[in-house]
Amino acid sequence: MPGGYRRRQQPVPLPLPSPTSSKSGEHLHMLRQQAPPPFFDTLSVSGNILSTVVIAIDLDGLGLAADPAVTEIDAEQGGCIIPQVVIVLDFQLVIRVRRERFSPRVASLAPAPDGEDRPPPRPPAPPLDGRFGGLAISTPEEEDAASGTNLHRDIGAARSTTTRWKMIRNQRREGGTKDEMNMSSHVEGKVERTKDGGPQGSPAMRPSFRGADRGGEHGGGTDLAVESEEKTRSKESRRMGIRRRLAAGPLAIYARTARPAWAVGRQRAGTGPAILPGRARGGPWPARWLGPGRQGPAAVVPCRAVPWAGLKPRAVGRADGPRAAWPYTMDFEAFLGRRPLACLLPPPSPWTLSAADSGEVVVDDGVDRISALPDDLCRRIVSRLPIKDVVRTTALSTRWRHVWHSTPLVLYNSHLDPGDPATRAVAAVNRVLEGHPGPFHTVHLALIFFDEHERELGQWSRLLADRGPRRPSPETKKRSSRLRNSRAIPRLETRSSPPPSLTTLLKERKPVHGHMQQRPIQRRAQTGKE
Amino acid sequence: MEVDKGKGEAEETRKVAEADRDTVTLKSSDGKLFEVSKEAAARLSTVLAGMIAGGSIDDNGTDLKQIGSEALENVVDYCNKHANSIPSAALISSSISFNTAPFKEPEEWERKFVDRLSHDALFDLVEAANFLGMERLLDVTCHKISEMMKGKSPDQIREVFNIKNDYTKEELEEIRQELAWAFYDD
Repeated sequence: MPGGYRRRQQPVPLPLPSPTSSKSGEHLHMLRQQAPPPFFDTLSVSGNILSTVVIAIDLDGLGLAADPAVTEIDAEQGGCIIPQVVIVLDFQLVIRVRRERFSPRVASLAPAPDGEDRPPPRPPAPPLDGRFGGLAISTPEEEDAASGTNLHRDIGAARSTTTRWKMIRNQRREGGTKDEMNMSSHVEGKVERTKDGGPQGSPAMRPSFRGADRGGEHGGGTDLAVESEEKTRSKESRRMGIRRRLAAGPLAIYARTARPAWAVGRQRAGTGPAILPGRARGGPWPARWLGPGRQGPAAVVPCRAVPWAGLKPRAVGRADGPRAAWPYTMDFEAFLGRRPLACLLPPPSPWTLSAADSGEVVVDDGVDRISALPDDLCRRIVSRLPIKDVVRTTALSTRWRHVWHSTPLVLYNSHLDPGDPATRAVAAVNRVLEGHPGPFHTVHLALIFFDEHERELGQWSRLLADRGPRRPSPETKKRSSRLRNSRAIPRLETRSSPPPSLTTLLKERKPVHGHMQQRPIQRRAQTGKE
Repeated sequence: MEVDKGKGEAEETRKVAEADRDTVTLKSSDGKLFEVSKEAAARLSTVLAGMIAGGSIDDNGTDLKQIGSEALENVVDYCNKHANSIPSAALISSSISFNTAPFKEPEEWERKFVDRLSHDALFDLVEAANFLGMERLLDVTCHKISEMMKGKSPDQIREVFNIKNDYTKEELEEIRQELAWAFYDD
């Protein structure tokens, strides 16, 4: 089986057992029918989730699952800081790690926007059809209804993540549905060990994989939380900035356990990739990576739908003021899988990178229409191309040399030559990540065996953290609010200055990556010539 | 006589329409007038929506000096045909900063719509859509252009788009070496 798995380079198209076997199967079938491969395989983070870093790893090559939750992001949230690192693993299940930088001081200072008593907006029950990324089998509401609890609703209503964890934990202690009991037997033993202070994370992760496997087989998803505390801090963690950041506060790992019915069927029939014990060895790596030095509580929550799906983020206070935006809820699902590759545009102005001088780029002659387009549009066009094609555009002419570099990076390693030996693909990913100054819009790494490339992974994670989506500057925010208030401003006029880098945010003191800020293309082209 | 009558009727309906204010008259750079339903315009174009909201719509033809008649005709055609099947521009713009509006692959009619355009008309349309803030139309047209670039070697792309190669040989070689992995199959 492992061999077969390795040979599968391309996640799609899969022969589906029966498009009508289940809702999600049907949905998936539909998606695959109507879309090119990357369509389903999508994971993205808007450049405006400002300091979010997403690493998506599609371990099984089946594509990343996604919830069909409705997303409506409040535009007002634009000014908020969203410091988090999301790690998405897909191992027929999707594991989402949500990292929130926890700041009790800020939290206690921050006033509730509309009075404490008001619950956050109720998520509308998301229908399962007609949306992108239809792997989710049930919505939080449905799960609640099925299990006869209000877990999801209550979790959703909880103000802080800490409160939510407590609720989840209590729920688990009280005992849950049959599925949950099945799962907990799997998970608990391992986790207790971690509580005793063993190597963190990896044991906590492993059960979640197994649990997921089991959960998938009987077609159910479960909700379950495991909390573990880590108090030791290793040398290793001090070396890595990202680890330090991750270690500082609470960590929630949301593990999706529901396996799509078609995948189960394929596995039974022996035609599809199984969840391989062999691969499970590579499974715990992210926890290993996140684990040492963790100080905050951690929760592993296998679930079919992440509890916060559909919730509107709440902005509290001002992002740039002392009362930073916190706490609020955030709907990742919107960013994790609902968007086809084609729409992974750099966010439209005023959030796009600076394109101040774009219009004045020299035009060779009247016939070359494409080079005469404003930079925004060039980026828009380029951002839709597979990575290889994008890179080739840099060889077109001097005008195109830096278009790619000023476009938020969209990288799907599945777009690299599928016949490529893995090491070569890894080298190419390396080059892309190193060569692109950021910000990274989407980085999607599938079918890379990270146990063999751990060094690269560490490197990439640092690059991702440093060059991840950025936060808009106060000026941009002002402009954007003006733009929101008056729709009459034509898009052509909205230009923005570059937002500071993620590092600025996280380290809060020195903007290390000021040099990476976007400059007008023409200037970059000149410096490139030198 | 009948023709005149027809004209009169048309004029009358136009006046009625204007009185009801459910159409917008747009004037291209070369002075041609086009009518588009106000609702469609507001839904599809953030700029027109703003103008309508701000009352800066001229009943005798809002001047769009940057847009030629052919492009404007295409824009109006696009609006008229498909206004109802498209999410409103206002909706998109409200979530624009988070880029969450799901981009759908161009639908069949949209593909056909852009496929029939000539090279120049396509770029005119892109520029017009950009000027008018028509997100969806921009998506569709840019998608078309990127399709035209996909899977081609730089030389082929230059040929399609008449891009003049202003690199020196050395520069080009440098780039090719730098990005050899992207070129190894051509």
